[in-house]
Amino acid sequence: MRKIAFIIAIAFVLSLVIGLNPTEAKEPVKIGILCPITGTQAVMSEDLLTGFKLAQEEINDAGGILGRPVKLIVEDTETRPAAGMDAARKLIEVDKVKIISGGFSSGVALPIAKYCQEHKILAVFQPPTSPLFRHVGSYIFLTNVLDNYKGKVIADFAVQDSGKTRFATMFMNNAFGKALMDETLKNLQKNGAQVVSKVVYELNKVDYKAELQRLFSKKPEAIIATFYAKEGLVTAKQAYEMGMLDVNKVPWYVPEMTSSFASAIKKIPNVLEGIKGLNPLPPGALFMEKFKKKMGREPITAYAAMNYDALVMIAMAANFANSVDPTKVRDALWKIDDWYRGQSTGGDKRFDKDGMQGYGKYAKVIIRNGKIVPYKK
Amino acid sequence: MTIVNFLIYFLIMVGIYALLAMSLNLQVGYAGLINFGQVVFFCIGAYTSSLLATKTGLPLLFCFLLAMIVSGFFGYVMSIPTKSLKSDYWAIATLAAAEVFRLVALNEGWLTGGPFGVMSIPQPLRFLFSMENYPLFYLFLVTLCVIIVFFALALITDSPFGRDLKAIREEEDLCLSLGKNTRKLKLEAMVVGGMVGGLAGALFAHYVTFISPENFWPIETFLLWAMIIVGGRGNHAGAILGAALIQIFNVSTRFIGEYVSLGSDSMASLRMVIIGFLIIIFVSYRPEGIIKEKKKVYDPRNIR
Repeated sequence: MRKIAFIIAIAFVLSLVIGLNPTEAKEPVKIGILCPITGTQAVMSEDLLTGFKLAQEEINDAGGILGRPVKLIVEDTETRPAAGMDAARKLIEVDKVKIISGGFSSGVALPIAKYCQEHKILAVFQPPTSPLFRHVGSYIFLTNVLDNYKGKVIADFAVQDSGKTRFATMFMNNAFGKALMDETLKNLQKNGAQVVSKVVYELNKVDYKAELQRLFSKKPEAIIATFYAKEGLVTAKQAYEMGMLDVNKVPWYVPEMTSSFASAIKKIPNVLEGIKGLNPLPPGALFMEKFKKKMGREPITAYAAMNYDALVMIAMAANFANSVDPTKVRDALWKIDDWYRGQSTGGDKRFDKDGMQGYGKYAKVIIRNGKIVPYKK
Repeated sequence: MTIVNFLIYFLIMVGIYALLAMSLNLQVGYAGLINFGQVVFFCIGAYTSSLLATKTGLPLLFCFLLAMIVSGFFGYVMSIPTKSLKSDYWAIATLAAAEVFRLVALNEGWLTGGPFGVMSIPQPLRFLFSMENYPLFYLFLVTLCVIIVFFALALITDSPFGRDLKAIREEEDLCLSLGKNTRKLKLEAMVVGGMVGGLAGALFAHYVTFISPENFWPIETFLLWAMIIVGGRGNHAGAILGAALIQIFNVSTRFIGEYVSLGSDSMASLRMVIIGFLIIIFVSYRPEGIIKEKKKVYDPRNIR
């Protein structure tokens, strides 16, 4: 008798548990996110993830993808290609994710992009900006503008604004710096300017005096240079000490103002006075407001908004295609990009024929009184 | 797209790391050469093989062999200026050599593609297999290499040459006093280590089909060190076990994150902390590693 009572009790508990399981909840749509949570780019990871999370909340509030909620599976790339591949393989083969976003650095994301293309996984990457992405294949999309385009804009801006013809350039030695440099040099030449010294520097050094001396060795009339936060701080400080930051004599043009001087502008704002350059257009007002509400501060990078755009566009395309099949979502991406008003790179998120961002714009900026403000001549 | 595919990928990476760990183990575990630049062999092997394959179209078998030869030769070149150095200086010199080579790969764009790396590296016998079956074949290839290298190294280390290497590790001066040419012995250990490392590099490059200097940062060397510290120095099985354990650990933390309330973003940071802990625990409580080096007692009558 006790045995029967026991069995009934268990059956009762089981039925409760099963009953509690909400039958109407649908299986979520899984989207894989690759993010540099550790490693050299880790500073930005919180912002990058917030961009995705804001989009996720918004999509789920609006009914999700085909009525199913969006679930993000986040994996760390450690800013290291081997670890990035581990992460992507885990997402694709174990979690069975069909759509991937994130990425961040070109060296990490390129092999992953090739793998995605081979296995027909849709990848909507953000910042990796090596021109090699253009030729990987039809499943690869970018939400950031390629460096080639930026190289042209900074060269035109620097030549027209300064009216000088003898330039010196300084870029970091990685895929990002190299691509940007090649395009900048080409366009300086097109504008009839001469490049008297081309300095390429290694990242993570504590002293850039030798590089700065080479930069100024042939008496250039204007400088084009770009940095990451850490290198920007060291270089700005040393250039100032060496008397090279007198922008009235030799003006400086920086293709990536915010990321170049993210630390310097907090610690030594006065030495940067008068440096001109480009910035991605700031995120849209809608995004800024949401971000501030969630995090209590402004985003440190415009890339957060690109992640937001990536996820929203994926959701829109999937709903439009009435499917989560990567091939169908890919085809729909080409259609919805015309209507979608983005929150990053000025809002125009149209893809060109290779899935790259072809129509983005940049803001011309200048540093005045320790702040980056819009520049007008 | 199943968990089986992930397992195959995982085992291939374990195999490649096992080769590197065995190579490092030969230098550290047997000869006592503290090599902090092990990744350089990996780098040279990967670049040699992939550049030969993409630029000259040489049959891949020759690319692999040349990768081993060039990498072994670099082991020789690296030990010429450093051969008279004591262990700690040896460590610094090897670390520097590895960085120099990575910087050459990064800057000589006409040859290595610079920061953009080498793309579209061909894969051996790719045309014989479908996309689903190819990884299985590659796993077979890597396993075969691991087995061959395992027995080849076992043969070498059981020979008089292996005993001499151990003698250098234990007491170099004693070894010298017995009339052994310790410089030559060290050099030979580096060449063999270099060849095995080069093989691992070639296998890696032709598997992932894309390499760039970012693959060869010094952090890789220290992961290999973690492998032989955990697995056990002075025996080849220890190196393989260590490679498998560190790789399992690296990957499994990605899965645990979902079940522990930490979330995968905190797990990511925790992973590095735990690997550090693991090294400290092993160094202080079990310095010989999981598989202890077997003490061999020789019958004096059999030694000539």
